[in-house]
Amino acid sequence: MNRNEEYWALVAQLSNTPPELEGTVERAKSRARKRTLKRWLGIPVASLGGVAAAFVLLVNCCVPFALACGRIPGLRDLAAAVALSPSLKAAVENDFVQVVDQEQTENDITFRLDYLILDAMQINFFYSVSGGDYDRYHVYPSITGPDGEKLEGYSIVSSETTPGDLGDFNVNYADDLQVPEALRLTCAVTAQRESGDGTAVAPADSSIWDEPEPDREPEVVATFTFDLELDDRFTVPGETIALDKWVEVDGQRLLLRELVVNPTHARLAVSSAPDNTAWLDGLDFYLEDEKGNRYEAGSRSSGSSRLVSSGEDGTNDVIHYYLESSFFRSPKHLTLYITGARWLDKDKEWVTVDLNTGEAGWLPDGLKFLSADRQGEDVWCTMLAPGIQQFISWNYRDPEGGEHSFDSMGTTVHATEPGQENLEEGLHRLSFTLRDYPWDTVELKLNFTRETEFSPPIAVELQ
Amino acid sequence: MTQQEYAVRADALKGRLYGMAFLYLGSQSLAVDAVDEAVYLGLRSCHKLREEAFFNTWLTRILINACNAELRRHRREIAMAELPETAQEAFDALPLRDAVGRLPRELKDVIILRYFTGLTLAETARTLDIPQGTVVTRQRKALRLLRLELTDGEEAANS
Repeated sequence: MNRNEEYWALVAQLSNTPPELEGTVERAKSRARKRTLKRWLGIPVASLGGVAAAFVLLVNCCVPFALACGRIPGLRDLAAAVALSPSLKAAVENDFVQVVDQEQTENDITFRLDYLILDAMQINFFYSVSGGDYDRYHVYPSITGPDGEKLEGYSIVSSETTPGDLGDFNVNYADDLQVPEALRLTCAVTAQRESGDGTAVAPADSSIWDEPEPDREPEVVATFTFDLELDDRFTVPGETIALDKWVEVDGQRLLLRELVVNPTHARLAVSSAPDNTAWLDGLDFYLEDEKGNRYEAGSRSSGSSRLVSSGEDGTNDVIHYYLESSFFRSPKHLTLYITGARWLDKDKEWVTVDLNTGEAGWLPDGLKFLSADRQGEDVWCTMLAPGIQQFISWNYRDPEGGEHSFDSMGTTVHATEPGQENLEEGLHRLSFTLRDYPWDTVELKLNFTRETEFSPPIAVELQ
Repeated sequence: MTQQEYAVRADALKGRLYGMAFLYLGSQSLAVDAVDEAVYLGLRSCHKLREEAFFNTWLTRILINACNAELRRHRREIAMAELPETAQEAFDALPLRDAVGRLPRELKDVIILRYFTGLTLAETARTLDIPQGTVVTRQRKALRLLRLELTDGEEAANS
């Protein structure tokens, strides 16, 4: 066979595509759907704005929104941004919005601060970024007093958004503090083009054998500063309902201390009895009023976490959970329904592992120590874990009582094919390294030891 | 371009993309993986494609990048080091498929796009972001090394 005959034979061979190729487009669609869902579930809260766009028509059909349309400029975008947050949606319906309408441009990037939705303990900032031919912006906000003085007692989260979309971030104040009368907001903005999507042309001098470039932190492309006065109509203290009710959950006693109902969010304060045999690690619950309206825990306005703060030892002191607010409905009765709890048994908090034999003490169901491999001064460990829950804490102890912490921890998620990762089910490999660790045993700290779901839920009358 | 339009056109092009990926990667499963990756990445960014006439070159370029990424990942398993242009005897001794795989990269890109993917001279130049004259030069060198005597217009995928 000469070269030309070989060529035609090869062309014929290549035209016989494998059957696996048939599902290519469907697999791509499936991956794209999962990616969208992951981005939506994975915070940043600002990205919810895009997803919520589908709700615009729905919310605009309701009478309160239609009325508010006449009062708040650009309400359509704001309605979309708050559509998934019942508390903020109720705030908009009730005209509980401070219109800012300020805009600045730097390096061709325009930052527009549109609205604030605030109460005495929380400020939600609604903004958009545009210009500069980028695909995504990440906003790193910080606040000071009006003259640049340092403020204390607040937490603030960064936020990601796409050009022109209304995004948001919020500031939360601790329980004994309130939002100031005025503040200076500074937003450092980083920008990214869709890197890694394969559409960029590689540099002419690059080779397929080159090492891939490590990920670089995006540079700040512009910084914006806004001096803001907070409208005191919105910063009056919320309603505090004293509870002081003990409730037995899964054999442990919890004290429901108080429920603070602010216009944009509510906070439930809970503490544990000192003689409990387990620390409370997580609580699943919701509130319901006499009309059947539900107020879910884990309000969007709290960011990603339900747990707001805890005492110094993280145990007997007060834990504050965020939840959606009943403020604008003013219900006569509220009932708490506890649907699940996660515990860390006090006598099982630490587990000792023999690094020579791989034998471990008691571990929660499904968690298994797999291997310890000494590499020079370090020990590389792997465990098998059900789901991707964070079973192991970042802290560990050596046999002499020395305390250490991991600098990284990895989870390998098994999948039968790309994009088919099941994060909730199946066994995943957890890997971590004990750095510069000469000892033969290690004590790992567990985050929790068991979970319980309550069906039917435990009901507690609060009001 | 909408995702629905994209899906139709990507589905029609996937066979050619597979052949190209197979030549780059030398493995059926890696080629399918690379096409999957390219089609997925294209789906994510198809809204940015304003000139639909450039769809083939655009998705082909995405596939080249996906193949390059795959080659980086599997560098140890895929031992297809390039041969220099002076190694005529070595090229002669190899089956055509392997010979194409071991061409210097810039020649391989051109030969795969022109003779196994069916891109025109202009499309090849646009895909690789090089002048058409450079495509012609590289094509001539590659055909000589492979001892292929194909005339313009004879490229298989166009026939």
